[in-house]
Amino acid sequence: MGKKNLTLSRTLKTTVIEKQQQTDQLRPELNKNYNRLLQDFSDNADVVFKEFTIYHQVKVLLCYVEGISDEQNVHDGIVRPLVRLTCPERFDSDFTVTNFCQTDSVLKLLKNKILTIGNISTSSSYKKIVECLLIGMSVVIIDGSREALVVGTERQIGRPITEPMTEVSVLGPQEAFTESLYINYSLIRQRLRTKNLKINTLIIGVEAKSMVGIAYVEGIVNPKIVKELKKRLQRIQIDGVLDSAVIEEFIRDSPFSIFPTVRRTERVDSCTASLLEGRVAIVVDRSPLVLLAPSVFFDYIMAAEDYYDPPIAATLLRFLRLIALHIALILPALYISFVTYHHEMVPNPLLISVAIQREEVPYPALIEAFIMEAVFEILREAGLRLPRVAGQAVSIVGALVIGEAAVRAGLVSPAMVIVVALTAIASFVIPRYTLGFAIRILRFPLMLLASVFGLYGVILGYMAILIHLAGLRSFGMPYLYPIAPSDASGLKDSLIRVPWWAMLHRPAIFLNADKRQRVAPNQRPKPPIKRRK
Amino acid sequence: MRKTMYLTIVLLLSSFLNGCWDRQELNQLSIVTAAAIDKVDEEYMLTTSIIRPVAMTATGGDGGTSTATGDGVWIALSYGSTIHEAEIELNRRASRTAYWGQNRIIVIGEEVAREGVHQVIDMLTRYPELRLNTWILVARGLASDIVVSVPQLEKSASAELTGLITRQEGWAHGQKTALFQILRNSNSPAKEPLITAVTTAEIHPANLEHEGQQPTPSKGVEVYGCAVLKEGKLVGWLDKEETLGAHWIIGDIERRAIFIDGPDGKPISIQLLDGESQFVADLTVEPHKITIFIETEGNIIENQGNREIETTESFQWLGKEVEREIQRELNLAIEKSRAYQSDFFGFGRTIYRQDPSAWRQLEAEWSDYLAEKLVVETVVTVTLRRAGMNRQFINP
Repeated sequence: MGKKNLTLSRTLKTTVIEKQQQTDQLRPELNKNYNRLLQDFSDNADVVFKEFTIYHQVKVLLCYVEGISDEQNVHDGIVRPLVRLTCPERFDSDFTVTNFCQTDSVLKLLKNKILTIGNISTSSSYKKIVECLLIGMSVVIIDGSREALVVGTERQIGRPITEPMTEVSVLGPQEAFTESLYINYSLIRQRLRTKNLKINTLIIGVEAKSMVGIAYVEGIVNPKIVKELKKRLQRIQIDGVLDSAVIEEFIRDSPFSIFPTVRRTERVDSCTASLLEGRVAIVVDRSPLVLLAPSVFFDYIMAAEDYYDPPIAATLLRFLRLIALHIALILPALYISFVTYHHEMVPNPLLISVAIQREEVPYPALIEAFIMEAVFEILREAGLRLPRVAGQAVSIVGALVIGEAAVRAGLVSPAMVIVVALTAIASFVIPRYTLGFAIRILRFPLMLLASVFGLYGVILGYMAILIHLAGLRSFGMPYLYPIAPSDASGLKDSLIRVPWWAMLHRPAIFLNADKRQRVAPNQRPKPPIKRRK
Repeated sequence: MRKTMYLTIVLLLSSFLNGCWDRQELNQLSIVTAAAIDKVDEEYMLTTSIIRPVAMTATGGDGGTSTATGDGVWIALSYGSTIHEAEIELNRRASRTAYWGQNRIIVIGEEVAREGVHQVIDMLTRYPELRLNTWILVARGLASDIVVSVPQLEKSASAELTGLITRQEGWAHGQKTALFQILRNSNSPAKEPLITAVTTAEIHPANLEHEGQQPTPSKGVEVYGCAVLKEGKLVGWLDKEETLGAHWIIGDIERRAIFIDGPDGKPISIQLLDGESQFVADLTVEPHKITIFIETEGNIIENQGNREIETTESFQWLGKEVEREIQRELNLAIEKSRAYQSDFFGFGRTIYRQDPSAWRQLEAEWSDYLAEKLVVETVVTVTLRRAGMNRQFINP
């Protein structure tokens, strides 16, 4: 492992050095540029070079990468106009022989009059040209010119927009982000038709040159957060960004905390809502999950649907989720502490029935609980990874092994099965998958504490978790906002969800102080006022 | 970072050093649900009713548990010169440690109670596992008989007794008393506790007769009334009627039935709801006078006679009759209080509350004062409201 890291950093270093050595400027001689490109792209079957001689004497080189650039566009917008110029009878009248040698005007001519693609820019940097080629743009280099034309012919490769997989909702928009950066941009833009929506694209990754976009709504967002975020993004030195999760690990606060401090979402509506609350979205090309920062704890028990359900229902559901979260976290620990320490806290008939069930179990409650929880986690992991056709087999074996055979063999008690089942179901109620990890993992230390200290240990562990949560920051924002520090207007959309017309302010901490108003006041629906005549 | 990590690891590991000091797995415990304390030949006899989970498990076809086989309760007897010794003795014959945290009932035998309930209470309140809301009963005769009695409706005698005390209290058959209430009484001036007295009874199963079998009565439990204590010692009993009278004065009656003779001499049942009482002490007169105001209201629930009683006049007449009947019960109870010189109504407390200095003068000779001098007056107000669901007299 260490050795690998060493070699990686060495390659990173050498690439940096190489870049510095070579001159970045294009040469006026086409051949030299051509040779340099040929040399750099040697052994690349999908790089296409095409030479034309236009106006009898000016040599032009077209270069693009097959597949990632749109061939239709390249053909219609670049190749066809250039081929026309190779025939003398099609010369434009304003083009005179005296201008022949002024290749800069050839460049301007091509850019403004000949090529029929909108997004054309010029660049004199060799590095930039290569970068552009690799994201699917076409490059036109003109002999004698120190500048080249960069034509936007990128192809949008991606699957169609589908429904969200991990953040399912019954009501509300059903669009999820896809892997394509541009589609994702357009999904956000379609919901935020404002010039204040700013989208910046960075290139991260020494080798892979992955595109990472930052989106925010100017005026609402706290500029400090954007600045901090850009700083953290620019610091990243890696060979390639495979998914937004990679970025998350580089930019998050408290890197070893198991609680997520950067939220990942695949829902377009969630992302838009977050942008309007003054958060920053990080869109990574080839990743369907958009990062939202900063994020606080309560973001993870809210579902997108909360905002489309009736407010009372949404509030109750949030409480339900919080209860489920606690069940998933501490129920096995409570079971252990009740069965091994606090027998007096269980109602008499229940204790007797648990005692009867535990009679034939040879293990202490801790071992019993660990066996069952481990079996469940194994089954869950198996269910995730295995091919779909084998799923049924696992579920049958799981149901039989856990539900039936383990009890009948006296390995575990039926009460424990109930506890595990309840824990499992409760853990699926948590609407954010990333918080689920934290709950799943923390359950085990709590069980250990319960077996050693009883209920005292459970409370101790719970306190430790709370203290940890209270100490967490996400881009400087306290993680337990709006509970700690408490904020009355923030509480309107935390555990409770007030109606939209009452949610007057944006959460205070994310944004500019003067842009707090979200909803104009006094919009509560009322019956029309009767006028007496 | 590294420092905190090491610190955390060390802290976490240290948690295993104590070796789970209080850990008691359920299958290493014997759960005591009821206990009886008797005195036999100058020695305490402790009868414990212990749950036997083994008898209740049956790994049958469905893989679950059923409570079908065997006796679910083990009755263990042990002896000792102190109660704790008897409890320790128990461990010589039990494979599991006795666990008292779920104990609901402690029955004190007559013999022990006459010597002093407080000797028992002392041990019970010192013992950390026992709950303070354990119900205390006094048995007429051997307490052991109560614990070994056969439960009729519940799984165990403990559950049966708990139900008898808690759910039937509204009918004023006994007096629900928990350990903490006795403790509280012992610390407050001039109030003796009343404790439910239970006795064994033969309970006849009714449904066996038609099968031509001789019905074998099983030994059940019945509430007798109340045990009267004086300075922590059992001095006597209140029987059924006296207990009813006592409850009017205590004022915790939820429902009662009273049976009086109607205008035509035929019995009428009247249901009374919510008896409330109020003590007023008059300390200006000598001897002091305590007036007890009792208010209740009721419905006619049964009319054996053939005369219409759904009239205002007969309601008033019936009300007076009920008042007289209640007066009779009250006097029975008050007489018992005087006879036993036990202030279980808390007359002394009323005086204390009204004028602590007056109480201090009386305190030394209070028993005699209560028995001979104190004047107790009762004012009963009964309001009959309804004639049951049927408003009309059924004319034969």
